[in-house]
Amino acid sequence: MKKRFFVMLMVSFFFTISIFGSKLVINSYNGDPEPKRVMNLLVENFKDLHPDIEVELNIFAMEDYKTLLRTWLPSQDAPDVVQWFSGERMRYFAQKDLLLPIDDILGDSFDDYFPAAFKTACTYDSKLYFVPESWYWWGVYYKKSMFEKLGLSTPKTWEEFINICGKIQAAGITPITIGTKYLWTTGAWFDYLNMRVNGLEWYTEFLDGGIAYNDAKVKKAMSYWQELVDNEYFNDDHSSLSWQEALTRMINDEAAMYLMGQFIKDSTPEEMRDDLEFFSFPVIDSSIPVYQETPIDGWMVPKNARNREDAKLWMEFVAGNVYQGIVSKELGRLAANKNVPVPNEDAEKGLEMIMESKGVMGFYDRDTDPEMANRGMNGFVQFMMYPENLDNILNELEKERQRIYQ
Amino acid sequence: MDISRKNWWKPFIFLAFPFAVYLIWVIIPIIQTFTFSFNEWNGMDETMKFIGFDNYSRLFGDSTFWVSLKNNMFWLIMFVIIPVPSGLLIAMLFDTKLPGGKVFKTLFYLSMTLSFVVIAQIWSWIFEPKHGTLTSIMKSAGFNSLSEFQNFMLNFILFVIIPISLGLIIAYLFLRKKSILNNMNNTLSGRFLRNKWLVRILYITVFLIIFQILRNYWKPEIIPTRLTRKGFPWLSDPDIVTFSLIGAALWRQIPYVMVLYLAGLKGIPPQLIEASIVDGASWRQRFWYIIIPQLKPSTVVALTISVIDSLRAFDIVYAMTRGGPFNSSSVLANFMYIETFNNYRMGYGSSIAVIQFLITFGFIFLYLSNVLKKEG
Repeated sequence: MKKRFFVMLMVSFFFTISIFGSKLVINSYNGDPEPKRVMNLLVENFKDLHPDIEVELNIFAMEDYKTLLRTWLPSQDAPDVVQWFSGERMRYFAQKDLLLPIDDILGDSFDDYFPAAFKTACTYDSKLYFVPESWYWWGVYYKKSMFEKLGLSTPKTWEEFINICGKIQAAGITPITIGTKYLWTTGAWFDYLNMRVNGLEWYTEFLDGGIAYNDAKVKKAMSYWQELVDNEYFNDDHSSLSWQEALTRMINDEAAMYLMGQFIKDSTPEEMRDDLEFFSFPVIDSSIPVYQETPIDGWMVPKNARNREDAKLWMEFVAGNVYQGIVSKELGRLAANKNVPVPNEDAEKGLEMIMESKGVMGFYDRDTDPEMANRGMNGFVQFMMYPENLDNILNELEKERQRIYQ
Repeated sequence: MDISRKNWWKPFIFLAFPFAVYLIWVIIPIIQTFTFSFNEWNGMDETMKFIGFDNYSRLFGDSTFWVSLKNNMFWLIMFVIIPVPSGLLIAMLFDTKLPGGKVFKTLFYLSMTLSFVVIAQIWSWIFEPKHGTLTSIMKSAGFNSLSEFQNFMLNFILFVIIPISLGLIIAYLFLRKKSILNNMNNTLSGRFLRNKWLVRILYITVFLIIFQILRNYWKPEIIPTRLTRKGFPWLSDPDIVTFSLIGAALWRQIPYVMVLYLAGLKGIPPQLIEASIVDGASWRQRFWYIIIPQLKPSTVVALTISVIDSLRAFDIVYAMTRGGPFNSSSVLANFMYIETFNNYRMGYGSSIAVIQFLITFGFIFLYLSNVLKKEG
C-alpha cells in the first residue's frame, strides 16, 4: 500500500542521516541459515584483510530482497555493494544506468580469474558490471536410501522417468515434490522441458520474447508436464508450500524426487545431506543435445554507491581465492574462480554433468523480462492445478507477451 | 477557548507542524499517486511516459483486477456480518460476571497484541495441508478429505439445523397466538400446550421427521474438486483459499470489535438498566430497546473500522499466499504491491491504488457525513 512506500522513504531518510562516516554497506540475500552463516564468515575474512574499513552487513530474505533491490539502486544512498543474479536480471539495471562498470578492477584480468564463458553473463554493452561468486547446477534430487529400498535405478530417458514415477506412486509415496507458493520452482520445469523438447537455441529466442507462448512447440513441451500432472505424480497441495516446506516431504520420506538447484543441500538436515543425490533431467528427444541450467550468483556496485573505493576492494575480494574458496567449501557450490578446486565429490559430479552438456542457461525468471516471468509462473501454477485450461492459459500469456515486448 | 481577534494566528502555529507532516506524508503522495497512474513508469527511469487513461482501461481488462475486487468484496461482507454480531455477543458475555471471565478476556485480547505477520505465520501452520492443526483435528474427527467434511456440514445444516430452527420459529409463532390457547383452557391438550418447552420439542420433532423423510428423496452434495476430494487444501484450492485467509483475519478482528463493545457497555449508565428492571422489562426488551440503541456509537465505529480493515487487507494475504494460487486469493492491495514492486510497474500499480482509494474514500465519506451530521 501507499503506507508501505512511505515507510521505505522514511527508512532511507534515516539512512541518510546515519551514513556519514566511511563505511562499506553490503546488502546480501543469503537469508537461509546456512548461507547466512557463510556470509558472516566471509565478512569476517574481509575485515581481517582490511581492518580499517568499517563494514555494515545487511542480510535479507531472498523474496524481500528481490523487491527491495529496485528501491535501493536509484536512491541517493544506495548500498555500496549488492548481491544479485547474472544475465538478464543484472542487465535490466545496467541498461537503466544504475550500475557502476567495474572494468577498471577486473576488465583486463577477467580471464585470469574466471572461465571465458562467464563473460557474457557479466557484461552489458561490452562493459563489465558483475563479479561472479559461485555457480551451481540443477538436477532431479532423490534420496539414495529410498531408491535402494524400492529397488529403483536413476532414469536416463523420459520413459524410464515415467516408469519410476509409477512405481513410486504404487508404493504410496508422492513421486515428485514441489512447492509453488513463491512461483519460481515452476520455472525449472518449464526450462527443462523446453530445453529437452525444443533445444536451447529456440528457447533462448523464446525467452527474449521472440516466440509466442501459444506456439505449437511450447504446447508440445507442456504435454510432457501434463502427463505428470494427469497421473498425479506431483503433490497436489504444492501451491500452499514454499520450496523448503516441499523439501520436508522428501526428508520425511513422503515424496521421492525434487527438481532443484544444488542449494537444496543448504536446507537439508546435516545427517541427511550425504543421502541426497541427483541425476540429470531425463532426455526426452534423443536428437536434441543435453542442456543444463546453471545460474550464476555474484555481486555488483550501484552507481549511487557512496563508498566506491571500498566497494571496489570488496569486488576484488569476491573475485579472489579466499572468498570463492569459502563459498565453495562451506556450501558445496562451484566456485566461479578457476583456481579454486572443486570442493567435493558431489560438486565433481555436478561439474561433470555441466561439462558434458552442449550449452547452459540461467533460469526462467533470470533470463526473461521480470514481469513476463511473474505472469508466466502464475500461469504454470494454474496449469498444474487445472491442466485442462492449458490453451486458455497460454493464450492469456501470449497477450501479456505482446504487451510487454511491444 | 475564546480566540480574540488579536490572537487569530495562534491556532495556526499549533497546527503548522502536524499539517506540514500530513502534507508531506499523506497529501502530496496521494497527489503523486494520481499523477503516476496516468503514466507508464517503472519507478527508476527519470522520465515517465504520459499515457492518459491507458492504465485504467488496461486495469478493467485485467482478470486479476476483477478477482481482487471480488475478493475484497468477500472480505468486506465477511468483516461486516461476522465480527460485529459475534464481538457484541462475546462482549455481553464478559460484561456479566462470569467465573474466570478475566482469564478468558485476556486470552481474547492476546490475539490482538500480535501483528498480522505473526498471525499469518501461526495460521500457516494451522492450515498446513498434511500435518497442520486443522487437518489433524479433521482427521481425528474421522474426515479423510475436505469434501467429506463439506458434505457432512451441508447435511448437518440441511437436516438438523434447519428443521430445528423451523420448529422453533413455528413454535414461537404458535405460542404468540394466546387466543388459541385461551380457547382450549381446561382441556388436557390446553394444559399441555401451555407448557412452552413441550410445544417447542413437539414442533422440532415434527420437522426433524419431515426432513428425514425428505432425505430419502433428496441427496444434496457439494461436488468435490480435484483437490478437496483427496486432502485438505485450505490454502491451495482457489475456491477455498480466500475463506481460509478471512478466517485467520477474523481471529484478530473479532476480539478487536469485542473490545470496542466492552468499552461501549461500560459507558451505559447503570440507572437506565435498573430503571428498566423496575419497570418490568424483559431481558429481550432490555437488549433491543436499551442496550442496542445505547451502543450505536460503538457499532458505527466497529462497522467503519471493519469495513476499512477489510478494504486495506494486505498483510495476511501477502504473508500467507502472496495472492496465490495464481492470484485467486489476491486483494487489491496485494495486486497493487505485486504490480508495483515485483513487476516494476509503478504507473499501473498507482492506478490500482487510485481505485482502492476511491472505494475506501466512499466508505470514509459515509462515516464522516454521519459524524458531522451529529456534531451539527
